[in-house]
Amino acid sequence: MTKVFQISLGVLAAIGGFVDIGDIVFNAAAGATLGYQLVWAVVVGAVGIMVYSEMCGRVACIAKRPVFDVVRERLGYKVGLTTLLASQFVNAMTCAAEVGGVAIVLRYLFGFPYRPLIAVALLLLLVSVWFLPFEWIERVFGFGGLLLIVFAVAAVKLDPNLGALGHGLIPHIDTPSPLIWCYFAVGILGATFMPYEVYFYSSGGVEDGWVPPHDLKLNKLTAIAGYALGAVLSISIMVVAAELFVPQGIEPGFLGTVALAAQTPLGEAGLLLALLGMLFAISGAAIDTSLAGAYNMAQFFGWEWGKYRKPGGAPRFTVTWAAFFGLAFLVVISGVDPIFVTELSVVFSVVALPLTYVPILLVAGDSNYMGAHANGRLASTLGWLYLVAIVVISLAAVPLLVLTNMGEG
Amino acid sequence: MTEYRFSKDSESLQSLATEGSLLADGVVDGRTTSAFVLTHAQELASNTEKLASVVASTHPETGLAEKMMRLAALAREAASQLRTLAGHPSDAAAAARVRSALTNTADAAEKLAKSL
Repeated sequence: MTKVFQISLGVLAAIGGFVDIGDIVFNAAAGATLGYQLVWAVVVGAVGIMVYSEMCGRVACIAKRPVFDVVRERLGYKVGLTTLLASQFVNAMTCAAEVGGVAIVLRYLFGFPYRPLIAVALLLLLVSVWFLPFEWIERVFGFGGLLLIVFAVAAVKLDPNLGALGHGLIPHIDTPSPLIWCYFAVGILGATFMPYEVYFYSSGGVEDGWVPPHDLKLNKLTAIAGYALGAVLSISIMVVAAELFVPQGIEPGFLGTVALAAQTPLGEAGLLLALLGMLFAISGAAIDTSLAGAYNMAQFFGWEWGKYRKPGGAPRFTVTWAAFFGLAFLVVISGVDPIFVTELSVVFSVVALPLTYVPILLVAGDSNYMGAHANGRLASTLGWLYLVAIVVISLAAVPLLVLTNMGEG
Repeated sequence: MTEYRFSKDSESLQSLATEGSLLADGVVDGRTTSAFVLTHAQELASNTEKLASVVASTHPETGLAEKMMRLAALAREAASQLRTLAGHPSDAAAAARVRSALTNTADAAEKLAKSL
């Protein structure tokens, strides 16, 4: 059981990358629009984020330096500051979307009006981060989010076309709208590499007190198992959407549409498990983003940081994560659509993507820092390959967003 | 409004109405919760009302005027049915009527999309 709990950091980080509010709806829309054609994108994205999370976890373990510390040193103050501003903007927008998402799910569960529930969501998140130790945040929200495994059960119950599912592992375009295909592929891959995942993951490694050599294995296991679980959840949502929504011509635009996909084959229990899974997963993603924002600021400016300290022991860090939640509340209460905000935040993360991943790759491969634990041939090759993919995603995201009218054609 | 936009809006109405009938189906079979039905039916109704309003207020291309009026009327009818579902989220008899009406609306919207 202890082993299972130890990988909770990877599970919670993966929840942000694969099943936050935007991903849940986006994956369902990809399945409803293109069937199984983009299953490969989830798998490719999962392997990429495993590679980079393992690297930054290793750097945190060996050099005791989380990602933003490395970003500032390798890129210098000015470029580092640009990265900080871009990533904080994305963190703030994503956090706002997630807080709104928590309120939406609470509304599905209890039927109360939306705006008061935004305040309830804010309070729940503030209380959770203030009172829960880091490892319990990982466990409660990481493993709670795994209730979304109900979509895997729903997918099995719907008796999916395994041939088509297998064919989806091979990139192929079978649609009259190749641009729409590209939009969804880039969106899925881009969401997988959202920078806050690695900020959260590497800082979490320091929070968890990882020390070599034992925790190097734990890091590898955490990165692989956590993101693999995230990918399974993501593919499951795509499968139920392909099986249920394609034949009926339903275009998912709400979290409720996705929940309906669990209810249809599994009844009320399926609906409730799906909603609870969403509640934990989206809350976890909100906490990922607010803490990632505070980690970035503290590491860039050299403040005391860490949830392992009492709030008074790292006051600027504490004020920053609380401020992220406060800002999120103000954005969502203004009436913007949380799903729209999160889709935009994926696009705006394009500036932060290469600037985040280049320093990780350079430091993880630098034997002056890492000694015998620097990148080997496999990690180095995969790292450079994925870096090229990240740059392509960054360049393609905005034009595709405009050309496809956010995937609506 | 162009033929392409008309076709897209018809498909959107088909999607909203079909989803509404799926939601009502859960009420009929007792496989859902009233809080979920109330909330999601309101969301669907709100989007359907917006669609009706956009379609009704857009200037049509030649030959599309009659079809656009029909699409706007269908959207208003679907929104009304969804509001009824939101108002009676645990009433199986009302949900059965809504399901039937929304299924008909979805079929009609599909025919409109294919009529060009």
